[in-house]
Amino acid sequence: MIKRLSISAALAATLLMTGAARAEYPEKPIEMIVAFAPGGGTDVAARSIARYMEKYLGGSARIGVINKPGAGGEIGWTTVAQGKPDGSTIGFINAPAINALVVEGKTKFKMGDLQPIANLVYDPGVLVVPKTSAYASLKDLIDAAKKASTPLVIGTSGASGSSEHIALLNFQRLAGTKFTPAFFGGTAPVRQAVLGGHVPAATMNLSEALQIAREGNIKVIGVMSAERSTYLPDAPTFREAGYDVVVGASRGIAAPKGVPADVVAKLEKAIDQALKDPEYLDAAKKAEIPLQYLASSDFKAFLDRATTDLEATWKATPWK
Amino acid sequence: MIDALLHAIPLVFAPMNILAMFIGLIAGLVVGCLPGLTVVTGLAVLIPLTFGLDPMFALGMMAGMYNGGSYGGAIPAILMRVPGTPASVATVLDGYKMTQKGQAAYALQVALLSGVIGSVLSSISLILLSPPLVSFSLLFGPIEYFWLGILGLATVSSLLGDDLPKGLIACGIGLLIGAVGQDISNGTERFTFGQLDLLDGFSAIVLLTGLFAVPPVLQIVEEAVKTGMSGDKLKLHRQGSALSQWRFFTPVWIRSSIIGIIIGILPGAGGSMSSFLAYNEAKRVARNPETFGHGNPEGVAASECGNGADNAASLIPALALGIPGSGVAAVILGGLLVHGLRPGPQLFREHPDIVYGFMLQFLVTSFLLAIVGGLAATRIFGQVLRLPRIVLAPVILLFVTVGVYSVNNSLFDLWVLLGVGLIGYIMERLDYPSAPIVLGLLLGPMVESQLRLALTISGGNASALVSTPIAVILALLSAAILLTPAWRLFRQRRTAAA
Amino acid sequence: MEVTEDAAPAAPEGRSRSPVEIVFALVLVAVSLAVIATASTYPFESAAYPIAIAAGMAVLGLWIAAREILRRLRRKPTPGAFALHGPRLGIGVAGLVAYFAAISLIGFILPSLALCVFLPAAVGFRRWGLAAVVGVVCVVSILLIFVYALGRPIPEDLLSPLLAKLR
Repeated sequence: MIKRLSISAALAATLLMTGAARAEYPEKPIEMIVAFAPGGGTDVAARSIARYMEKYLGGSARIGVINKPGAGGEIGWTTVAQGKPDGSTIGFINAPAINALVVEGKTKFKMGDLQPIANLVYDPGVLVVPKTSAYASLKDLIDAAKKASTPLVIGTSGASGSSEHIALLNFQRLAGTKFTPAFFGGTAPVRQAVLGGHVPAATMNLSEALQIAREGNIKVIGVMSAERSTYLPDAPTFREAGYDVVVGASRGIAAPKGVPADVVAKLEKAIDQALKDPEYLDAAKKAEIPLQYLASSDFKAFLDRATTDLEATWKATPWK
Repeated sequence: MIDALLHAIPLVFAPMNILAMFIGLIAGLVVGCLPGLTVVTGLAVLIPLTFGLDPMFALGMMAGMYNGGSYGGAIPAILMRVPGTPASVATVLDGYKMTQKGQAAYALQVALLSGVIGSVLSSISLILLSPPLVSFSLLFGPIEYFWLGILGLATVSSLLGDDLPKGLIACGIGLLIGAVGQDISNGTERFTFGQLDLLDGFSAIVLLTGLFAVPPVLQIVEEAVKTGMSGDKLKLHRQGSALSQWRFFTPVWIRSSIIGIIIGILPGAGGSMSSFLAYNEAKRVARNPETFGHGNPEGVAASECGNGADNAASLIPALALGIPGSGVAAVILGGLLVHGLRPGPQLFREHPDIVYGFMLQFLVTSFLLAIVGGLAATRIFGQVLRLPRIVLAPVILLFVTVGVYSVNNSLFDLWVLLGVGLIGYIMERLDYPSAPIVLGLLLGPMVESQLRLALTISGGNASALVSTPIAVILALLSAAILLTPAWRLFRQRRTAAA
Repeated sequence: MEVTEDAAPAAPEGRSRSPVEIVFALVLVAVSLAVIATASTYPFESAAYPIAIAAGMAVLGLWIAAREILRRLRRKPTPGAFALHGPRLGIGVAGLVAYFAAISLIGFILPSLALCVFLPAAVGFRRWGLAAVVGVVCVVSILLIFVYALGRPIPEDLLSPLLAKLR
């Protein structure tokens, strides 16, 4: 009896809520989907920015971070793409990992199912060698690789098909040599392996190499960005050495396709303001997070280009 | 260093920061004792809230949560046979048997004290020995990790139970389950049957919970005992105190702490391996190994001490190199970053007071844990057993269900929980031991992936596997662990035959 | 009645679990063979590890099945019944399945309260009040810890809109 009563009460409550007049966004709590486990880099970024977004969305705005980890992000991103397009579901997407999954053609969603809102972070890839290594530049590495009888081993923090792996494929094509990628599946193990000299070279993201590189424990011989990083101005880029390899990991926020334009604009503005919040900015600077704000339209162009590039690579050298 | 320590003391003992350590400790106890909730989750929620607070306040909460959480995991392991964390599986083996013998309060006390000793020694090693331990940890590459995994798997010899083929099958099941999921080096989807939820393999915490929590629920229903444990059995002073038996436990504590600290500083090995290795070692050297698994307090002491010793040690590579030794250390690194503290050698130079303050907080929270855990937690949690046993069955199930769901927010995991639980029940009734499954599941993937990495790096040359001194030492240790029980059995048979 | 002293109390006499032993061992063999068959379609480096383990398991499974059959032939099957109490085991399994099915359909809260009250009742526990109080205390503390303090979600619930209002 009690049970039935509470069910009908719940139903009544549901009806009331959907029947209520549409107030100004965000009236309902916003769910921010994170496609990785609690405590990971994306999760920490999401939980930090969520607090500031609440502040700038105004009044009663509430953002709940929901972790939907698994399948290299695919589970969480599918949830975002299939969410209700009313602004109550947003999520962090990580390019070019998400583009690579889509290009492989096994996902239940297309890039077009997502409405990009803003990009927050852009972290270029780097190629590093142990401090005792004989390779001082990309040229040394390539010369050695060309001479060696077996392909040179390069550790990567990602899995097969990760942005780093794809960058390596592009690099060996441009350099006319061959590398053997060793997949460590995480940043911590590959960093340890290169610090201890267990692999001759490795790829990772700049922010992950920054500290140990500055201390001189590893050498950064190539940065995969268009220009040198302000955080590590001494490290040369791949472009300077003549190889057009520009790859990085980005973190941005997207919503399901079909979200009203005013909601997109509101979220976009809140993110922009949050990133400029002195308190947040100060912490991000100290932590050397490579912030890079891209507004909705720029973020979309950025994602589109990543997809086109990957499609070309996939045709030439499928990574799986 | 001494200077920095002296500077850090007033920071650590500021009233607000002591409060922070208390809050963290109690929150850690709560998340640790709820299966499915881990310290990682607790910290992930906590860290953004500490934004803008004093770093020492935030770090104190983190240190408290880490130490509290590792003892918290032992509470349901001992009282209800539900390991709160993977690291408390070895605690279940003897801890729950002690509860059944009516020694619940004593078992909790042994667990607490051993955990505290482990984390105190670990904190001290963090303060004193960081630099040499760091260079030791860098000697470990894929080859060494492969052998470390083998060493961990070798401890299966102490978990096999009485029926050798059944123990081996259990381990094999764990290894096979560990192989499910996408192969990171070529993208092959192994045994996923197109299920997106299986691409990363089965979640260890889900399997573990199903395996350990569901069978006792069914057994309680079958027994339908309508009374609870009498309050007498939960009173401590009737059961002797672990502290007064320090002479008895000291050898176990020392061995387990050393094991825990060494495993702790090696990134990627983790607390569960520390506790299994410590348990194995305690059983291996014991004069009465056959009493392990039947309620020997030394088993609880070894497992919990190893696990406690893992904590602070796992922060050594994290603080000194920025390489997290465990999931928790990874989150703590994130927390440090949020406060603008970049881990690495420069952290010791730029903020020595904060680094050493944080290390001291680990030490202080270990002692606080002894007080909070000893005075309150042990007394309060033990009272759950006074409920009629049959009422406990749904209670266990409720907490397990919501915990497992919250790991991945997935209903799929709930069905995995049920399926694994039912299979676990069948296996238990047929005397297949459960612990080897967990061991295989946790270490199998490490062994396989490190072996393949090592072979990739060496260009397929298998002799590289024994090319370093550490690799050889680990290989010999593994052989010794595997052969000890066999040697014992052989001697027993000879004496029996004679 | 006191708490049982041992995990596996002595089984009722005259029954043996030996058929279950054999069936389970054979199921293991079948699963291992299926694993080998499935894995043989994978590239060598992905297939080697699971195939090696499954092969070992198949052998061990056969060993256990053969051993049990031999024991039966010698009229010394492994002693002990499979279930402690068949009917109650049935109730327990059915209760679990129903509980998880109900969670998928109507969420966590109502099935949990129902489980706390009806599962003990189904095996003869008649202190309804105590069971109900325990259920309510558990559900409320789960909501407080998981949902409010830690922001962890619980399965989608009929009562969720109501909870959202209470926040």
